Amino acid sequence: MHFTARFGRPVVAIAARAVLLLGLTAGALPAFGQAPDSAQVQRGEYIFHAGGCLGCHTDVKNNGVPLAGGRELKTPFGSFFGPNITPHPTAGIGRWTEAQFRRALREGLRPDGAHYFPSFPYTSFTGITDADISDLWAYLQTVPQSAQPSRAHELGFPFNIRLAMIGWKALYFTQGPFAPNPAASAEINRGAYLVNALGHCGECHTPRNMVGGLDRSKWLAGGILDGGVVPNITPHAETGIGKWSPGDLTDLLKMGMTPDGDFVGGEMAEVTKETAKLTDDDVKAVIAYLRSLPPVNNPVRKPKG
Amino acid sequence: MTKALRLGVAAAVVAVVAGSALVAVAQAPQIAARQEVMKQQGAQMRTLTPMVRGEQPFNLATAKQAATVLQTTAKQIPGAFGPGTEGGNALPAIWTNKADFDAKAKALEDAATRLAGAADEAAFKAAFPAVGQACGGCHQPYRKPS
Repeated sequence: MHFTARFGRPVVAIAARAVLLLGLTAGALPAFGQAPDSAQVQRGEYIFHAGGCLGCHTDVKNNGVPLAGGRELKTPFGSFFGPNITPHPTAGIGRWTEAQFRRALREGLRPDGAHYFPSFPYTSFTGITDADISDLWAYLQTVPQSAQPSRAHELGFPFNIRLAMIGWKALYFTQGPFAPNPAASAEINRGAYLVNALGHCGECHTPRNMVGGLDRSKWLAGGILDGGVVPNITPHAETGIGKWSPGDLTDLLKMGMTPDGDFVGGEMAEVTKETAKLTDDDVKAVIAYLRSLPPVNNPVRKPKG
Repeated sequence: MTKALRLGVAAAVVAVVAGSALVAVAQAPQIAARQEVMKQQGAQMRTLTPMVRGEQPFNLATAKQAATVLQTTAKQIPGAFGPGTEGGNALPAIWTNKADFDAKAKALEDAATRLAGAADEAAFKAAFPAVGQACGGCHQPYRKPS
């Protein structure tokens, strides 16, 4: 998928500044007495699960505090650690404005203007709509604070140079939000939004090049990640999910079960725990979108040794 | 597969696992034995899934029998991951969190017991997702992704 809207940088910068200014003004107003809209928080919680935020921002293996960070993401460039995104004022994102939060997701920029590494999948999250970002932000205000400091990434040279991200972004980043494909049904567009923007499935299921850019010619066609096989989820009959029935795909998303009666393990089990919370309509939309993709013949095998 | 044959297979599996627990066998046979337990469980899920989905006519007797095999094999899980048998698709965390691992096996056994005791089709279908959650709930921390 491509985000069709691509703005010139000056326009983006001005817009971002305007949004930031508005956000700061709003933030300066007394926040007390503004009870969070509970319907919005609920919608935000749904977005939170559909976005799979928990996995990278929580040290699940060691029963870490939810969203307090610390989860290691091993890559060929080094180890990344998801930061604390609880509303703690210093350890978390408690002093951020909604506008800064939106800029992080949409543009991959920290509040201080530095570039995020794409281990934070803003390449996908850029597609999230403003309304969903607002709801997610409202929800994140309600999670318990944690004072646990975020752990620094452990990256080798030259991948530890944040400034290099400017060039990386120019090559591999297309700013959203998600633009529906007018030729596709509303259901398929909803599925595309869930898979590509919120669910950021492509971040693992699409192979990457030497410098970590996604190979869009093999969108969702699988690859090798941290020594393990990430399956091809395009509807190719032999190498993908072409032979899976909608029922098979529903059981995977709802229970983590594969057509042979097996259950996925590891990271994908974390994912299916979250996709199990999707509404039936959203599950159908994800399936409709995946089955509408061009089948890519890409056998993925475990590297020897 | 006929009922008798299926029961026979289940009994054979139980015998293999029980045997390997009694005799201090080498590591590889126990890995193969527990993989057989897991395969047997997968086979029950394949029997049940089309019926639960409504893709095949629901037969309560067949369904309950598959649930009983799940129950029996679930009981074999703690012993099938005995001391010093690390390997296969099993993650080392099993042996460092054995109590939690065993509790998860018990959760499957309990879910399968409820499934086997379902009085009718509706009750069976209602009890089915808990079995899947128990399978997935243990694979998440303890099984290699692929």
